[in-house]
Amino acid sequence: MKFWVGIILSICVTAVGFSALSAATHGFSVWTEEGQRRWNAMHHPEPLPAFEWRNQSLNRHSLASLSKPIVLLDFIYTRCPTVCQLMGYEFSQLQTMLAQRQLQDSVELVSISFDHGYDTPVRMANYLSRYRADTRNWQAGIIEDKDSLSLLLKQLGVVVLPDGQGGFVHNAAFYLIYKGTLVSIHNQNQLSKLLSEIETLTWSF
Amino acid sequence: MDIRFNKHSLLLLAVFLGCLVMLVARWLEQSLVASLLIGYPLLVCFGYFLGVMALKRGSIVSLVEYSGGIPGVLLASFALALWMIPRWMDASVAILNIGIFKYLSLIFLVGFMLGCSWPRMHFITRAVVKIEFLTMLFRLGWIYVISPDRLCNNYLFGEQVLLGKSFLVIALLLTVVFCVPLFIAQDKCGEGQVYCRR
Repeated sequence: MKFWVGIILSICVTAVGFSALSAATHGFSVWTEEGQRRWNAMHHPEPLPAFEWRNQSLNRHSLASLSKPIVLLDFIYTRCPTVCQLMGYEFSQLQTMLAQRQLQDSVELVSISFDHGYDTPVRMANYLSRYRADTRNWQAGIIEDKDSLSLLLKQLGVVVLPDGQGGFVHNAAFYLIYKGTLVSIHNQNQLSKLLSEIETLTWSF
Repeated sequence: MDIRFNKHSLLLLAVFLGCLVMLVARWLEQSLVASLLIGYPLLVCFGYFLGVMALKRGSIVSLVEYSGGIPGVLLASFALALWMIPRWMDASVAILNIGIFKYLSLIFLVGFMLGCSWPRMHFITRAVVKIEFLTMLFRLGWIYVISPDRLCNNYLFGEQVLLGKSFLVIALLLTVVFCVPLFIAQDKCGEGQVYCRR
């Protein structure tokens, strides 16, 4: 009798443990905070908080004021020596690819700086010219209101940590926004996947 | 030393120590390496001693005793596995309630359960647990060293690599610690020893 109690108890603990771990990782698929953010964006899309930025030509813009329904957002700082350079390069590649597919009037690329004290509209303009950006559908801006910047970063799960050498460590991802709602988050080096999702979105309007 | 505490003062002491340990663990969370290599073991050890004491005082349900400690050690493994998932480590740093749940589960579900199961476990079960723990340390260390991505949002990439390397070093040291006794001939025939001089 006592023997069986131990065995049944072990089976129960294993079953409960597996279910708990499975629930905690959405069926063993989500292991990181970033993965969870992406899962949320896919399964429960939520509108983003309102925010305004001042772009390279000093104009104020918000998601609502843009004429294009699809916005692709990334976060950068202009003195970044590593990842942001790659992101800028990928944005410029993407811009060319969008133009090839006649999608340049549907998608706006927006690079937002989180380096509040350092980046200025002039520096953002330099950033864009570094990548020979076509400013008709790629703009770079600074969110002047610190609170709305931190709210946006929080909602998107962007964590910016000083790296101790004057720079920052941050998630390098592209945020795909459709009519003010975050619909998915994409890694670098996945431009074809990103592009096919943009094409799917454009079929719906 | 024969100082007898009554039940209440012992309980009070345990609660006080528990709070202290949790505070220290919270403080250590500023660093990934300190949190995992000092904070986690601290919480688990505290729970372990509580478990051993509970077993000695006979106040633990005898369920643990006649199951050979297996349900307890399974529960401990699952609870520890949950708090090794980067997403939940991040959540426990960011959200205080999840943090408190983490400390309590590391104390009670991991430490306490191990403490009242380990002394009752067969030497083969112990060996399995030890080997599984070692291989887990090697695997995790390896993942942390080679991972090109930052797994925890709250910590820097360099810390993750350092943690991976520390895991590998600790796993190597533990392998030695676990293996050395196997090379020493057993003189006495103790409980659970198959080969010994009779």
